[in-house]
Amino acid sequence: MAGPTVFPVEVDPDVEEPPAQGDLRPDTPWIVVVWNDPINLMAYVVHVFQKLFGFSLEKATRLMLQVHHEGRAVVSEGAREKAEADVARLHAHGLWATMEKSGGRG
Amino acid sequence: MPGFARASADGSVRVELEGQEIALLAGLPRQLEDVIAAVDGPVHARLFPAAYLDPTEDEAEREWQRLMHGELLRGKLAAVGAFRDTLDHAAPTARDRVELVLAPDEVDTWLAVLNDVRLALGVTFEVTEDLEIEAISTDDPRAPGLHLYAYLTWVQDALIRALGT
Repeated sequence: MAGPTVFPVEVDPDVEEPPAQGDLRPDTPWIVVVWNDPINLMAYVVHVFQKLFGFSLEKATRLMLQVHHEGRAVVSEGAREKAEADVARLHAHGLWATMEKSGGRG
Repeated sequence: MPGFARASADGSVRVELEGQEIALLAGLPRQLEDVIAAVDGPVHARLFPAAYLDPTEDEAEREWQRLMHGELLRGKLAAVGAFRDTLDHAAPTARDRVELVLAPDEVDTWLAVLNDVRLALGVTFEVTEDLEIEAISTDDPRAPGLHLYAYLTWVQDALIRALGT
């Protein structure tokens, strides 16, 4: 049996290490999640989605039903500051909303 | 029966209330101010939720609360004040009734105040989606609170329906 092949690692001292990848990427996108709760009326949630995000009645209704049946729905996304502002506006209207990094959950 | 009807194409809503309803609604601002003034507990947590669930974002959460909590609080208190104003300007009509016309921004104020009171009552009485308030016995200590909750649910729904017509 042949032994493991070892490839020599050549190090060129003149080549600088590339900067960490995280420093080059733009701010991680964030998503704003609205959670189901037993108190907010379905019609009210649709009304708030339309008012805050300018959604059509159809889109607002679809997202409300997703919240109702699946427990949560993503209603907006963007940079951290935008997500924070959207969460604040949703809280001002009594909806239960949080934000998380995009892709953090399938 | 009280009435809620769209008054014009701009989204104003005409509201007609009976004496008992006026008294109920007029009591909401004081109740809500007391609730908003509380600094902890489940109702406070529901009215002023966290923005971040991820514990590694604790610092961002603290900063967000520092920036936003006061604004959210002032917004809720302003809505309570505006709600009280609309009731103060209600015009008496015949037979112990009043009528008021809510401008679009006043409709939003009503929806926000009704919703905050419903959230406070709903959390306090641990309302679930399956709860049948009609089935609550009048002997039940929760009955007065839950009947107010049901009435406010009806008013909020009627207001939204009026907007949609």
